[in-house]
Amino acid sequence: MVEKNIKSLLKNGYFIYNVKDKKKLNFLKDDIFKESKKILKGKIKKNFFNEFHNINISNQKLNEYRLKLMKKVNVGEKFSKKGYEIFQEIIQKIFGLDIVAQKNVNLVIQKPNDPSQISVHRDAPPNSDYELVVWVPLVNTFKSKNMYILDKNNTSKLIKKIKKFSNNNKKSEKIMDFYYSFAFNKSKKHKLRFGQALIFWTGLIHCVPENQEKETRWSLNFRFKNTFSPYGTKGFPDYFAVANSSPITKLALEKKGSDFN
Amino acid sequence: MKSYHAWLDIGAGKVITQPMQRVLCQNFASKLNGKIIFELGEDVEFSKAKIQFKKMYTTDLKVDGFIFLGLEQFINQKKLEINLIKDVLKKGYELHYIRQNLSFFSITDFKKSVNDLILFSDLNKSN
Ligand SMILES: [Fe+2]
Repeated sequence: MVEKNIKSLLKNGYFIYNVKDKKKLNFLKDDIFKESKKILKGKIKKNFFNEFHNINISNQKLNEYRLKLMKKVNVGEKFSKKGYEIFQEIIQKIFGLDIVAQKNVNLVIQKPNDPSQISVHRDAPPNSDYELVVWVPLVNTFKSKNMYILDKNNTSKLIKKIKKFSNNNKKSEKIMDFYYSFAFNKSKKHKLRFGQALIFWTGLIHCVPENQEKETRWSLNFRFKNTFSPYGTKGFPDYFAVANSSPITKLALEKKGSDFN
Repeated sequence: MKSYHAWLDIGAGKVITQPMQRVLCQNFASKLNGKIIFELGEDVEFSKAKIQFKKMYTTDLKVDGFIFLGLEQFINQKKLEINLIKDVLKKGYELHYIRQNLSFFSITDFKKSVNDLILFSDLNKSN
């Protein structure tokens, strides 16, 4: 399985990963539910995640709730640490033993028919090219309740075209139109179950469509990289924290640390 | 209420002007339940050596600690001055770095973070 994942990563720039320890993933979901109960008090409904949009709160309150929730789950880097535990095996295969994880895990809630989150972009730059995103849906995704991903070849095709257009002084609206339509047309629309993750390279373009289904989409994203590979604008230790160290790094830190005892 | 000295990064003025830096420092101080009572910045020529800061913290100041824009202000000849951080803390001052959201309230915090400081220094060297 791991070999297949790595092969797909090299060829496509991404792969779909089946989480082995679902208990740990459930812990994250349960934790979000518990904290939500506290924040939203009586407003919790059956089938909370998928039916979230039926809870009657204003957009401003929704934003406050999301920020409060993110603050809670990121205390002491709780979710970041759990995320590393869940994906440790595959992450170590990709990066080796010296690994840093993004301290704050991002939580995205996409209610139906909300155009404000539509986006086509890639994370690097400004993130590092030596970084991976682990995208974890907390609900089953399908159709537009999903995130679409452009594979490595299509991403580089699109970037080349855009560069050519810019060099030929094409109108910027025309370029943007092409960018969006190419990305939405050529991207892969994988259905993901809760218990699966889309693990992708920061160099890939991905699209967030408007969710036109009748369920809310919930997702978490984690980021990992090797401790010693180049950083993007998100550096160490502001954004990333050590998740694991190799024996040799432990020795080096022990030696250097003894100067400050 | 706690009181702090803010140390601005004069060299970074092109991107974050001094008034902007001031807002960041005041905001950080209020999160610490404190206020900025004095504001300084190294002269650009001496900023790497931190001569003014070194002179300052070794005298007996009536402040709880110092707020810096970032650990980058403590880099000298591509190395983070970890010993300086330790020494300031040993004198009983707090140290805060806004960019890294890193706070040292005591020498105990230093011991917890010393590996991160070493890594920060080593990563900086290879850039
Ligand atoms: Fe993204």
